[in-house]
Amino acid sequence: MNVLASFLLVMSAGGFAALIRSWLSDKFDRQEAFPFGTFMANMLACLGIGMIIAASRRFGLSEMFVVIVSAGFCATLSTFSSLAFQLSVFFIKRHFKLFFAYFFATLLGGLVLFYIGLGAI
Amino acid sequence: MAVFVGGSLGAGARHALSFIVADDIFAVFLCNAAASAILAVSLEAERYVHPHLRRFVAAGLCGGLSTFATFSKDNIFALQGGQYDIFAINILGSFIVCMGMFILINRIAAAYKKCKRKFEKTEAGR
Repeated sequence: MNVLASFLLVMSAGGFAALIRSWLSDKFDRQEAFPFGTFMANMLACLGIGMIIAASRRFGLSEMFVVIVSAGFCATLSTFSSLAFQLSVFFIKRHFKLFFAYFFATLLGGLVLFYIGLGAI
Repeated sequence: MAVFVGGSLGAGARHALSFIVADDIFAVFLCNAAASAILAVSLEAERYVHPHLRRFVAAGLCGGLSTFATFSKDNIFALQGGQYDIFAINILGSFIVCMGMFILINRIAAAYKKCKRKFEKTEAGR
């Protein structure tokens, strides 16, 4: 029962997160330009997952709640497949400035925001 | 709706994989690699597929199955634990394999289309 409940809740949270990411991408991602929508989704997710882990350590939240927020919401809000696709398009089309800007901004931004999230609570 | 259902299924699959695969970092890598492969194939088949199904797979399923947040978390914890090799391998491996999926599948699809065109030309010429 616990396992089934955790799955259903993770999936529901994931569904909502996917809607938010999709909306951000539709609104702010442009072809041949820095994908601000996907970037924002990834950065928010990294910050969020850092904060929920910190909150869990500080306030002793239930494991189920942490899993729903981290694995369900934050992990689904972020995406690696779209990121890799966008990077490969920039690479193939030889937009190297965009490629490196997006790659380093996402990689470093994600690490830094997760770390900030950890320390924020 | 398609995105919601796809995202739920992707998240569920990723959650299931986290129980099946012992190593958390490798589980995330597998999810990201699989999602990239699925997305690459769906993009090549874009023309033959209904837009709702496209969004279900791309924004929903693949977006839900893959994760950048958990990837970043794993990398920071690896750094904090002094596991610099895992940090480097996870980052390089994930980006090379996932980007590689798109480039490889794009090349395969292009070669297939070229062969198909050649075959059709030969048949038409007969």
